[in-house]
Amino acid sequence: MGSFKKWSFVLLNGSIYVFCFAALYFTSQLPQSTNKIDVGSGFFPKIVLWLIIITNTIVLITDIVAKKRSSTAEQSIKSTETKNDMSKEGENGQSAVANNHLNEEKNAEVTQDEEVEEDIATEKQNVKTNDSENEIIQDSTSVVRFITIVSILIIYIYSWNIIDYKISTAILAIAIMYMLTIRSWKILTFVTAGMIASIYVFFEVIMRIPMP
Amino acid sequence: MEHLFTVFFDFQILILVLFGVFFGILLAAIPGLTATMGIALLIPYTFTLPPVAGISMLLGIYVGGMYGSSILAILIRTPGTPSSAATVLDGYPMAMKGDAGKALTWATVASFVGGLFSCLVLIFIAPQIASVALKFGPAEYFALSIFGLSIVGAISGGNPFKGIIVAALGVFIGTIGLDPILGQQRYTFGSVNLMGGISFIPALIGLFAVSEVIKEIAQSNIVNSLKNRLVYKKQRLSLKEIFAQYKAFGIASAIGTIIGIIPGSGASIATFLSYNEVKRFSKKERRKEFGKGIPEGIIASESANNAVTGGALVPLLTIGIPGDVVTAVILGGLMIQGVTPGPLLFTENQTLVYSLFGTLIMANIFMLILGLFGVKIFAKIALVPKQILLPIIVILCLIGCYSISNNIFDVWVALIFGVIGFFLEKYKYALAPMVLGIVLGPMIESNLRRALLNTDQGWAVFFQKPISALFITIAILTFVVPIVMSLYQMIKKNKTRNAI
Repeated sequence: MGSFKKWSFVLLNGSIYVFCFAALYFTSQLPQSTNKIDVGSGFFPKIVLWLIIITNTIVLITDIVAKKRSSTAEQSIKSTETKNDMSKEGENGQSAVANNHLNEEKNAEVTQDEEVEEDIATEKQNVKTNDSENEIIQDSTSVVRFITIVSILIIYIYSWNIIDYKISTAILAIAIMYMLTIRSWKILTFVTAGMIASIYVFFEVIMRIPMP
Repeated sequence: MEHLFTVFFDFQILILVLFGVFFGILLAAIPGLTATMGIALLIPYTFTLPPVAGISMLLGIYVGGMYGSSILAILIRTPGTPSSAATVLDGYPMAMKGDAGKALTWATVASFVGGLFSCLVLIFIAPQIASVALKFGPAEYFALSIFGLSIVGAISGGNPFKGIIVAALGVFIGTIGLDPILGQQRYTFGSVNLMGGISFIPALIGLFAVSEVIKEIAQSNIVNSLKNRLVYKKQRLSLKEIFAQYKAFGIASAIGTIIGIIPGSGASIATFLSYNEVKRFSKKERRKEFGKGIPEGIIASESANNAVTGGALVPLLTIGIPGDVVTAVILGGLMIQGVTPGPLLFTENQTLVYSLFGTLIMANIFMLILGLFGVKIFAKIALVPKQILLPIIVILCLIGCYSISNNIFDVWVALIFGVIGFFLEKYKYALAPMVLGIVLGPMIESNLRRALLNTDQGWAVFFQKPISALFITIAILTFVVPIVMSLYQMIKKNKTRNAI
């Protein structure tokens, strides 16, 4: 999930390529100009589309290079951290052995310190794991919410052909507010009623716009 | 000239201008509604009024609408019109810092200064400046629009290449519909709705408003947003603070007025150009602060867009060519009143011309008063919790899109652009270049092709005409210099890293 998120920008660049090549295909279908300088209908869009394709390639390459660099840097930081931890452990171990001959109390303290350090490290590891888990959960929640809101809006606009816009607007307003954790029926009712009344007065009565 | 001041004592005109400004601000503060729509709506009601009174009300809406869109841009990151798209860049971050009141006051003062400056230019040097703009041909217009597009580097949020992609996508979107030269259908797939091209306002609403709502809902931290919501509190500005920004006011007002005078260029080009120039003329350390919520960013955009109001009236009144969409609608209002704008208007109907100048000054004064003392009413929307505000915004956006031409297709356009905007922002592509591309695309294409068709010199034509050559050279420098500088800094950083 993490690596997909990291490289998901490629999807956008890919979509831009698909869009441009499809548009270029449709541009080629346009009638060509008979003028000596080709300034027909497809002349300008072609320039624009090629500009997008070239710039998109530059962006894609630079983004890939930047991502690779950052992942290499992350790996080197991780390996340096591991090395530091190992050398620290070694040093602590040596000092513990040396101090063992001196007195038992001091040795006990060192062991205690090690335990605390270990605890902190474990805690950090847990926090990291929790963070990445939370991120994944948040990402999937965002995707679900995105799909939900876009679907609701599509249904809302489509419903204008079927039912009165006041009814569909009321349903949409309640749906979005409910989605955004508003549970008070007073707020849901008053906001929806107020909004529909305002829209009706402003658009239909004052501006005389024939609403669907 | 005495007619300039007589309108100040006409009670009927005063009331109508005040109503016009209030209505303009109110309309622009509702997502999806614009001053153009308000003027179009009220034109039928001006039939029964005397010419000066009727047109005064329309001018009031124009000035109020231009300013009012900044309220949305600052408070909810949704520019009501393209003219305040640049206000979002610094207005919203400033509001996020807890200085929404200050941001709105800066926008009010900047709008007033820009508006008044352009009024003075309109009054004193209108005929002279208009004569220069009259000499512009397709090559000059092409160069000017390329110059307008060259600021993409400055508004693309750190990666100019991503900015180019988004701007070029915007330009491509502008090619959908009928070919401006040959009348050939392009990418319409037989749809009647696409023949007129993608409607600009639904696209804009989708990109900035719908995408924001989708993003807010998709991010599951809405509950926390109750704590983090924007809190508007009245924050005053001292005269010292205002005068300290004289440079930004001057640059923005001058750019706004000049761009406004050039027909067809519009407020959106003026704001982005002004933003770029104010940034460029700032101190090096200050330049880095742009986009993070500084007054200069708001002044650059707001002074420029309100300066366009006076500027756009210059070609309208002197040569009968509207400077932008709103003045095109005002032209309709003038015609309804039996007034034909043009050079003869200045000699034959001086009373009307100077009365309109006076009206414009008055509209700016009313805008300042309403902005300073009444903005709290408009800013109330920011105090509503996001859980309530988001459904209201999305519904008003979609219904607003429908109301433009009573066409559900526009609503679909807003939703599609909302989804596109969501993904572009997710992958750190700035949205502002797309607006610039959609606005400038048709202008670039038609003038490029006209210039090439009218000459045997090919592309050299753009460098043979001095004005065109000048604008293209400045455009290349404006775009290339920041890229070279950022590349140089990247190489320098890498070298330092390797040395360490």
